[in-house]
Formats: sequence, structure tokens, C-alpha cells
Amino acid sequence: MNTSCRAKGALVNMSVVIRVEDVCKVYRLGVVGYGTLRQDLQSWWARTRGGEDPNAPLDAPPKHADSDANILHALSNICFDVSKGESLGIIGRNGAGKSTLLQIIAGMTIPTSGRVKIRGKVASLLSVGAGFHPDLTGRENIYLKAATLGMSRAEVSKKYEEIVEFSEIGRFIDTPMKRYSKGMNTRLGFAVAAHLEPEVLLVDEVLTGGDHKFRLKVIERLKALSAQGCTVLFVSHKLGALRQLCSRAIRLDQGRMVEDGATDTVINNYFAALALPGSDLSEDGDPEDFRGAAGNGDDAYERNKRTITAGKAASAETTDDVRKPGEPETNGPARILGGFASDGQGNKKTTFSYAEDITFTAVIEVQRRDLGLASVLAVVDENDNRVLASYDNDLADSQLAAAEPGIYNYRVTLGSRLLKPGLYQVNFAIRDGNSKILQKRKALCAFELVDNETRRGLQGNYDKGAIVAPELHWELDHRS
Amino acid sequence: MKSDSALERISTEDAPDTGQVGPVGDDAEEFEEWTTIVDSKRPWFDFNLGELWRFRDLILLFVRRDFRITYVQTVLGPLWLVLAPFLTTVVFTIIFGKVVQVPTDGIPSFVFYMSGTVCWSYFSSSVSQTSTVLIKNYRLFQRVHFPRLVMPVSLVMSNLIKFAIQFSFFLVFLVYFVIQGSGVAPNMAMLALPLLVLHMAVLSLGCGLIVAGTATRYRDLIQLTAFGLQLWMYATPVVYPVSQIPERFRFFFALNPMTAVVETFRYAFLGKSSVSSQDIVTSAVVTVILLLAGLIMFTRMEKTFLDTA
Repeated sequence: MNTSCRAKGALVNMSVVIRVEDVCKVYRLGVVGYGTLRQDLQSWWARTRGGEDPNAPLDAPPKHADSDANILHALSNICFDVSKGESLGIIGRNGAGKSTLLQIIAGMTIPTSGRVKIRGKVASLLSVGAGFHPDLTGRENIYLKAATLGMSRAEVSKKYEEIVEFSEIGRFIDTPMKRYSKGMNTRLGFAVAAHLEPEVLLVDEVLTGGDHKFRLKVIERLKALSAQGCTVLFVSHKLGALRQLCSRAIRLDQGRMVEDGATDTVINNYFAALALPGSDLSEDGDPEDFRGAAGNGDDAYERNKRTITAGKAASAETTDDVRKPGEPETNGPARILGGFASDGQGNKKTTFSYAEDITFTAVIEVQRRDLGLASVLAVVDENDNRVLASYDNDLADSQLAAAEPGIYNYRVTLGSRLLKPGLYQVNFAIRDGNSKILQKRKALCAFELVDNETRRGLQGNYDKGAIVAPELHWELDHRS
Repeated sequence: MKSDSALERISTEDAPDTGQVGPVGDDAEEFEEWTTIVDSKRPWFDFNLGELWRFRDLILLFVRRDFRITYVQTVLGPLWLVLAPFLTTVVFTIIFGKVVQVPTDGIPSFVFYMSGTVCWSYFSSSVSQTSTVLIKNYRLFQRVHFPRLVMPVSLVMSNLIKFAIQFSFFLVFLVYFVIQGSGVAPNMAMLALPLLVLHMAVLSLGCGLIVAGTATRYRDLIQLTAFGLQLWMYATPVVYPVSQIPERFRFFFALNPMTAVVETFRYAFLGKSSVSSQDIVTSAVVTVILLLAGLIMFTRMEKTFLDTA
């Protein structure tokens, strides 16, 4: 890839508020120094004398400390401009570099190379609850938090009533914050930031806490700020919210900017990329998912996700022949090889009509017969809600349990006329006799559901406001 | 990786349906310069003190917070604050005054030791708190962006409240000894107290900053600092007067910036000291050097410590 992505003839747009120029961020993996001064001095002394570093790990590659294996390119050559009043969404899977990018724009850490230029006051809301002190009351914390965001006392006093009203904390405002619920914390945190009137607002996953009503309020507020000319950079896994708020989005993948365009297009392509074979997200530990899974009471699933997260750091680069964290050892009873979605005629595709049955196929290699083998499939919508889950051993033992070693297509069909149009991702896992997850595949496949059947669908009025939007049989009986 | 052309698009092309994109023509004058540049390279002297000034409200709020938490919500807090220097002074009086019998320039040993203890405890607690500031607030710094210097500055100021309480306590004893007529002669040099306090604050900030940045990489510096401060106290005329030091070593004593501070303090409130104006100038110069060194080392680390600590 070209080192500089700035177009030569790029129009110099005076309304550009944020200009990200060729930003790279490199982390050295492993040890930074050895932690104590004595050891660092020892190493330095040994190096200057040309000897061997007594503190170097035995398996450390000789000399080339900066060889590629030790380096993680968290961001590579990121370039984009954001105009005044624009809302830019940043999407990508976990570890793609979204948060690092925001941290750099916020000035919390410096890029390894490149620069970010900003016009105007920046407020960053990278974590809503941070900056609060549990022993202080809500009132005192409002002033404290606002000050950490660069707001003066006078400004806060002017906005105080509005902030309290927005946060819906009401009479608890003089209670120490340690007695607040997580939702109250989130609400107050966002309320303060939302009333800053910054010129640039950086927002990272603020929608995680708080209830649905509050989320809508947050989006409304961000929209209003944007209409007032505030530039918003928005990172979220809630793609639906992102769609509502941002007209433009960029997509990051492994630290590279792979797309910049209209939000709808970028999100669609993101889902298409998820559905591509080989784009395995199984190493992706998304804290959001834990809650989703926990909500379904599926403990084993949750536990396994945790181990996967633990392994995440180690798998900065995963190659095909290396076993990914969370995958079973090759001598496990079965493993997932891949998967796809297809229609009734067996045509693989990613876009389905509301009226079509969708068949999901998981390609599974059974390595040895195991009577406990079973699997579970879940459909997740673009806001990370688990829409449905299905277990293959609900009524009788799974067919996998009786399978002789070999490679199988394991098919399950989702009936038509069930879900509302939108983007969905299919997660799949195989479990052993103790309901322990042997392997899970996040985004086994992904699909888009379009409605060109129903009257509303044909009018383009897709959203019925519910995820499950089945075609039900309505009956009208005259009471006589 | 997609072709570069995808990246070269200009934002306005990609946001056709909003009308939110700012106008280009009319607002052009409004945008003259970039206000913030986040760059990989920053000059070593760029301390961003203007930013610090913009966040002055935050400094005061942090001070207020510390005050609230330590003094308002605890029962023994303020009492402990006077008890600690009092007990230290009693111990010093017994050991150095009565047992070892260190001469105190004819000043009653109790106020002599107390004057030293009050000054030293401000300096020492400021330094030790400032030196751990980056490590202790790592979580906060990771999530909220404000000039990092706000924290150490507010700590040094919080300690001023503590100093004020202990100093008032000292004044009570001083008044008692003056009434007793025991050779204690407070004089007009007292008016220089604000300068003395400023001197101590700047000095402790400088020393604390030097450690704070480096300690994010070398945790043992924290222990070293605690130990070093103890030794430093004995190198400072806290438990003895400078007049007891042989003339040929005086120069090295003057290099310790706390020497002049303690001695001037004693001169102002107790009336006896062997501090010279030359000592005070030396001390001020060393203090400024230490502050600059601290600022340089701190700003060097503050942008990267999140990645390395």
C-alpha cells in the first residue's frame, strides 16, 4: 500500500474540522523494558559492552527486536477529513483500531507517525462513567466531570438545570454517586458531555448502558448537536443507531481503513465481509456479547467467550495453519470448518427476501464419535441483539452424536416471513456432552433480509419497530 | 485492501442526503488555523501551560474534592493532621534536644523542631503524592482527556491546605513561646511567607514530576523516592541548625534548595538563622532548574505512558 493516502489534488475544503493525516500507531508486543530500573541498567550495560542481554527472554529472537512478529500495527496510514457539522461513524470488529483512533484524535496518546489536525474545542466521551468520584454527590460530580471535559464553572452553572433534567436523576442529585445504579451513572455522564457545546465530540460506545428510552434520547441529542454544527465522531456496535445518526461512515479492519462512504453502504459491505469465508470472528471477544449470552442463561457459551477474550491479545495475527484461541485441539471430537447461507434451491447467497426460507449450513468435521455432541445456532441483529437461538438437541439427541468421523454439511432452515428486514449475523457453536462449548464461530455467515413482498415492504416502509415481524393469520369474527 | 481511491474521497461527496455538511464559502474566514495538532513529534519545551490555565477550574475542583474526602467525611482526619507533626516534634525534642543535645541557636528546641517539621512535611508529602500521580490515576487518564499536569498541580495545592492547618498549629505554640519571652523573635521577614510557600510548592512539584514520569516505567522509583525523602530530611537542617555545619561544607548545603527554605522560615518566625541572601538565590536557581527538568520529563512521558505503563 502507498504510504501516503492524501490525494494530491484533494480539494482544500475550508470547512474541514478534523483532518487525519496518514496516522499510524504501532505497539510493541511483549515487554517494554523489564520493569525495574536495575534490570534496565543491567541490560543497557550489557548492550554497551556488546555482550548478551542477561534479561532477554531465552526464546527472544536475536538482535531484531523490531522484527514484524513483535509489532502490532494498531493503525496503518489512516487518512480522512471530517467537515463541520458532519457525523462520522466508525465501524469495524473489535481490535480493528476504532478506539485507538479516537484516543489519538482526543490527544490522549500520540500517533507513531502522521498527525491529526483539529479546529475547535474537542470533548471526548470515551467512557461515560469515568471522571466521577463515588464519594461525591451527583451535583459535585457534574462540576467535576464537566471540568475534566474543559468546561468552566460558569458554563456548568448555566447548563446545570438542563443537565440534571436530561439525566433524569431528579432528587438523587445530592446523593453520593456510589449509591447510583449503572444506568444513572451512564445517564449523568452522557448528560454532562452532551451539554458541553463542543465543536468536536468524540463518542465511544455510550449506548451500552442505559435503557432503550435513554438510548433514543442520546441519539436525538447527538443529532441536535450535529445540527448545531458540532462534528461528531461516533464509534458503536449498534449499527442501527449509527445508521440513524451518521450519514457517512468509515470501516476499519486490522488497523487499516478499508472503506469510506455512505453509512448504509459501509454497513452493508461490513456485513458482506463478515459473511465471506475466512473472515472468522471467533477470536473476537466483545464484552457486549457476554451480556447478550448471559441474558440467555447459556453459561457455557459465556464461559467460552471469556476464554476467547483472554486469548485475544495473543492472536494479533492469525494465520490459517495456526490454531486460533478458543478453537478445540485438533483431537477434539468435532470442529467447524465453515458455513454459508442458501435459499431453498441451494444457491448460496447473502440477500434474501422476506418470503424466502433461509438455510444455514455449517460444515463440520467429526473427528471421532462422541455421544454428547450437539450444537447451537443464534441469529444476531445489527444492534447485537440475539434475536433467536436454536439447539439441535431440544427434543432428541443431536444427529451429530451418532455421526461417524467424516465431513458433514449440517443444515438448519429458518422459515420465511419471520424477521424484519435488516442485516443479521449467524453465530454457531458445537458443544460436548457437558454443554461445554467446543468451538464457536461468530459470524458463521451473515445475510441481509429485504422485504419486497409485503405492502409496507413494497412502499419502502420496512421497519415495523420490532425485530420479529412475522406474517400472522388475522381473523375477524362478527359477535352476534 | 481496497484501492486508494476509496480513501481519497472527500467527505462531502459521501454525504449527499443530509445537508448537514457545513457551508464552504461563507464560513471560510472562521477557519483560519488548526487549533489542535496531535503530532508524533512534540518539541521538548512544549509544556502546554495555556491548556493548564484553561483547566484552572478543574484544578480547584480536584483540590476541593481532596479536601472534601479527607477532611469533611472523616472524623479523625483534621485531628490526625495536627497530631502527626506534634508527635514528631515531641520525639525530635526528646531525642535530638534532650538526649543528643543538638544546639538550636538558643531557640527553645520545641518550636525549633516544629518549624522544621511543618515545612518538611509539606515538601515531603507533596513530592511523594506527586510522584505516583500517573500510576495511581492510570484508569482515569485512560478514559478522560485533560492536561495531565492538572493532577500534580492540584495535589501540590491540596497539600497547601494541610500546610495551613499545621502552620496555624505552629503559630499557637509560637505565640506561647513569645509570651513566655524565651528568646523567640518573629520579625517582618514573616511577610515573605507567601513567597516561601510558593518556593516550596514549586520545588516539590518539580521533584515530584521528575519521578512521576519515570516511575511509570520503573516502579522501584516509588520506593526509592520514599527512602530518598527520608535521607533528604537529614541532609536538610530540620533537626539541626545550619550554624552547626562546618564552613567548608556550607556550599553543598546551599545546593539543597530546602536548606534556604527552612532556614528562612526560622529566621522569619524564630528570629535566628544563618541564611544568606546568596543561599536564597542559589536555592531559587536550583528550584527553577528542577521544575524545568520535571516539566520536561513529565511532558515527555504523559503522551506515551498510557501505552507503556
